[in-house]
Amino acid sequence: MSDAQDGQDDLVFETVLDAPPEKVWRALTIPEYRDRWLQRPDDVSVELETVDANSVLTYRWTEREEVSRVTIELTPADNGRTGFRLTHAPLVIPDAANTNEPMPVTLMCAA
Amino acid sequence: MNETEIFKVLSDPTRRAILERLSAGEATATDLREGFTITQPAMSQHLAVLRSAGLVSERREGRYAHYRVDPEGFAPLHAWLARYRAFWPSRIDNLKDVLREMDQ
Repeated sequence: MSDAQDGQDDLVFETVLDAPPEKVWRALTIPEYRDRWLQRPDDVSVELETVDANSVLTYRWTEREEVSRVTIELTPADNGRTGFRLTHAPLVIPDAANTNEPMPVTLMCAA
Repeated sequence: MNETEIFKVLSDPTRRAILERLSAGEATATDLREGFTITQPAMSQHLAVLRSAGLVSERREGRYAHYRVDPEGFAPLHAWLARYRAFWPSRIDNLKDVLREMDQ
């Protein structure tokens, strides 16, 4: 994705979507739409964890026995568009916001 | 060791700090304790966990054990990252298609 953030060590994807947040939100949350874009792999189960309408949602992402969290954040952008940011992080690693330590994923790739 | 177990090992901030220090080069347990407020047994325990996870290897020289990062141990983690680094951009492209097809 050409417009992705240059975070090669982190699973953070940012783009701007050509639709207002309310419409993006519907695409994310209405199952009929969600199934069409997410195309969840067979060995993954997805459980909605938290929801803040038109703004933030988090999924608990379970791939076989391995649990991680997917966070999608929407922000209104110019011309009725929407800033979209998706973060996929292992559940056992504390959020970067809660620690002054560098994210281990970054550390490991440096190692 | 699969990526889930590796993530568990790395969920400890002290162990992450140890790895960060070792990524700068080989060190002994005594070197590593500098700047940490942990006991020698606690440091040994963390190093044992890192070694059994395959993330750190040990080289003995006389009385001293030297520790270094073992890059091979991180392979499952890199595979996990690579999988999702490819997965999400394709899904975001799908999302753009869905948005184009939706009414309003």
